[in-house]
Amino acid sequence: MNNIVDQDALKKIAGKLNKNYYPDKKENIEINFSLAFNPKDGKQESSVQPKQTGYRLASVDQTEIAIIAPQVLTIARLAPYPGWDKFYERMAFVWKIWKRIVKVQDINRIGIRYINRIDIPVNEFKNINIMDYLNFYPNAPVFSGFPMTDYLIQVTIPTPNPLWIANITSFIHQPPVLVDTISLVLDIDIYNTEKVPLDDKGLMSRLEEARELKNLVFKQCITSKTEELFN
Amino acid sequence: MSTIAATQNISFPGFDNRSSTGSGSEEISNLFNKARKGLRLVRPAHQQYQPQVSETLEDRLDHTKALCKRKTAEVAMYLSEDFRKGFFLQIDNLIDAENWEEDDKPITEASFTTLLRMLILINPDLRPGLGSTSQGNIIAAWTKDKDQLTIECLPEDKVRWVLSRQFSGIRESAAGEILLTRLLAALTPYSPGNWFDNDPQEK
Repeated sequence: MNNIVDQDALKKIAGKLNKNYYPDKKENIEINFSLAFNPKDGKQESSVQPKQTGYRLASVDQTEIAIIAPQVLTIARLAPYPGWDKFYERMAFVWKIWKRIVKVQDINRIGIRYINRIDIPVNEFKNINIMDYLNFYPNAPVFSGFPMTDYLIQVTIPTPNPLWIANITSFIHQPPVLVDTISLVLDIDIYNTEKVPLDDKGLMSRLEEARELKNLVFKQCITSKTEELFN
Repeated sequence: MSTIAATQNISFPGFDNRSSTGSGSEEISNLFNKARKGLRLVRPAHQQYQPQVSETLEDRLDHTKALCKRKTAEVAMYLSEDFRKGFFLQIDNLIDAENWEEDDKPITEASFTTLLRMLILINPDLRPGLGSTSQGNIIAAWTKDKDQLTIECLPEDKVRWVLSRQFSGIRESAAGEILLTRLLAALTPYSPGNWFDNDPQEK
């Protein structure tokens, strides 16, 4: 958001969320460390200044998270994912509380980010072929007979809907989550920075668009073998 | 070439950025980390919290409890809802500040990670009892009649196990310290299904 929310307002929002769905409340603190050296007298001065930047709220089981900061509102859900409807409901609730306390003048970015992890059992040589699982992978020249041990790729690409852009990132999850498995991460961030509506209906229907685009991107990035793994 | 290897099993002296001891490994690792930072990798919401240095025991335990639950969420798709709910209750009881002293070391992330990987590998019907050591290692224990199996989860997929089992009225004991991948093979002579399964006869 463009306008900066003051700490009093953030405290009020955190208090409301803390009473509903997010009983675990932590202050987010940013620590600034400065060190100054005077070459004339050789004296050093250092200072540590903690500054509260907002709140991080979570459910008892830590799967639902809300982060509020002067210009940012983030709502997240960890596995097990209960589906879009539940997530949407929670998003609408948090947004309602935010709007009740803060006068929103402008939104400069909205987005939906899905971080998918694909756990793939390794073959008898203790490796996998990424092409079997992703249609989005690094194409590296062969320098030796050994397979690559790590990778990280990212593209920023317009989507079929001109309002939305996708940041797609893939890398190997380290360490692997399961034994004898390689976990690939497919991180899809769909965002919109133009003409973001301020009214609830417009905003929520815009987010629905993002969800559909996310599904499209996801389906195009994975292979049928990965679909089998998810089923 | 788009084949990737499970790095924990492969070591390229002087090349691999994690498992080798070669002279260039650290440099390559640093370069790789820099590259990752250069890209727009915004940390996911659940990772955007660091505990304050001057926390009380209660705060540290609170942080550990939350960490254990977040780690469990990473593998939630492999655990049934009942298992997860019961497991969280066990974590809440184990990491209750009333049972801890100021100089006790809370459960470490490395040990808890081994526990989760072990539970998914074994896939037991029955949840183990949980405990912890003064080094911050988590202990999983199964008891069936007079038969006991206790496993201490060490960092990096190592486990230390000890068991006692009755065979025809004679008690046998065994113990070992091995990699997780060898655990089931090591326990096989003692019919581990006796501890892990609801109905061991069926499996």
